[in-house]
Amino acid sequence: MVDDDEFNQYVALRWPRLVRSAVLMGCTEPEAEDLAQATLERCLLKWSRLQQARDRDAYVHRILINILASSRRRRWWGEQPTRHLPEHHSGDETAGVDDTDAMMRALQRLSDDQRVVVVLRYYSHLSEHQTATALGIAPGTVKSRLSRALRILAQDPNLIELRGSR
Amino acid sequence: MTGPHWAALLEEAADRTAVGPPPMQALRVGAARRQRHRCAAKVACLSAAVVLVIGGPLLLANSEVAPQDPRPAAVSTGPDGADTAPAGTRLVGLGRIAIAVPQQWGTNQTKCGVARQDTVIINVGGIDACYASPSAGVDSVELGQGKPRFDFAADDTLEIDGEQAQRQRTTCTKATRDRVQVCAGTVYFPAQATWFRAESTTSRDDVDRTLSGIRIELDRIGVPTYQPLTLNAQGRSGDIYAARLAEAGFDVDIRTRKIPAGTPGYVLDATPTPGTMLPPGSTVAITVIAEPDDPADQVSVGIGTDSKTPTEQFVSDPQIRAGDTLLRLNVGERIWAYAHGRRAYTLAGHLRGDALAIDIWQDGPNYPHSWIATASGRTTITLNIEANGQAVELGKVTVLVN
Repeated sequence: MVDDDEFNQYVALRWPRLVRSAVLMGCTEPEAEDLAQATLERCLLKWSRLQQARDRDAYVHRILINILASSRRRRWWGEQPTRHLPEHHSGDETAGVDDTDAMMRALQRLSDDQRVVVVLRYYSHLSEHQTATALGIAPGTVKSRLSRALRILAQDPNLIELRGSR
Repeated sequence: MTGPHWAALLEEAADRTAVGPPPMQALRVGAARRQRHRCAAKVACLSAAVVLVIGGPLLLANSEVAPQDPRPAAVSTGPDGADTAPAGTRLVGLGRIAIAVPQQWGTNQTKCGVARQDTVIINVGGIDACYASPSAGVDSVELGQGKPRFDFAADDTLEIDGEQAQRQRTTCTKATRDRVQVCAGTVYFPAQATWFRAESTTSRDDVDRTLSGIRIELDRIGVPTYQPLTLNAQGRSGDIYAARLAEAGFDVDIRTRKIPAGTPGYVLDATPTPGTMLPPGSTVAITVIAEPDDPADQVSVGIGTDSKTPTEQFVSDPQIRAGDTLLRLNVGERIWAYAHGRRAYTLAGHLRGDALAIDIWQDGPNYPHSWIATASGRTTITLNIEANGQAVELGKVTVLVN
């Protein structure tokens, strides 16, 4: 029998951040909720092992990344096939570039791999080693992908305006 | 911009997404549905049931089966509480994909590529060109990296612990009077390029039962194989394998061993052996052939005779280099030296004593380092090669002619 209280608590704490991580990785909001739900369903099935795992967050994110990758391969979401990540609908596109729009547009300029690594490191706050576990790659590869991603972000014209204020 | 600035920007961007409460009920129903799907994919999983508690009433995932103990098979835990193999089994794997096999199974217990007893088959290089018919009552599973066997075709797709996999259905050959029935099935993980092929001369169910032991490991990684990398890459195999180990998350300790005429950099072995499941950051020691120190290391020599006594028919390279071997021949018997490697063509043998004479068969394969025992007595053969105009002694053998 799965430990009800602990799992419920885990879901309550992690749900918003998992959904928002998925949005930052390029999902629409409904897709992100589906993705987070699918991830937690799988976590529930192996909860007894996850409870004992040394690095629970890394493995939960690994599950999330795997589902995201397979859904993109299968075009599971029923969206029109596209080579590019779905646009984040910011509502009024004529409203000008504010900080959040600038960030989302800048993320869209990254490759899938780079975007995921940025989100895992700076939003999900996984360490380099945890990120490597989540992605199934070496820590050195995490470092190099992140470095390239940050170089691209630093040169993004939308974000350059923000530098003066930070 | 620094790390905290990126973090703050991402937080602001993410906060724009309004998130409602988690859908707990839907989540548990979905998990129960996945459990049923996973059971349907595993033939051996006939009576498992996951009991999920939602508030008051019990919800049985598999409503066709009477409630049973929902806990999975006993999983022994290590001292740090990490999940280990189920009781009575051991884990063998590549990357994070492992299979639990019975503890008593051997490793690479094959002949001519055919399992002779219950065994794991992993990291096999060249297979002897011989024939062995399958034995009855033997189960095996082979693990590999890269593409699966040439005859693999995916019949189904499934998910194992969240990882996408392809399954080739278990099929059996026809049993005849002279040949046992062989059943085989394969699971392939395309994203990880890792496959498991189970074989059984007992039953189809045994193949399915073996493959149902595949799992994704959370805390450990399987040591990768170095075959057939060594066959294809030869002297570069050491560097390539060390890079693969590092990429997999291991620390690598490279050791060298001198092998005369060996290809420097060729992987000889790895410890722990491929397939062993280890925590990330563990050290794997690999042994590669050392660079030669001098010309004598670049050639391997041996001596053969046509003596009818088996113990007098062959002298190995290490024995020759040790110099303390005594061979006994009869008058009329032949003895010859051979070499392979760099400068093997310069091999020469110098005699001290009168018991041997050079074999005058100039078309022979070992001329001019082939001799005949012509008289009773003792003769010492010293073998040399030539390097940079200098004679380099390799070793010697003493021959006693009766």
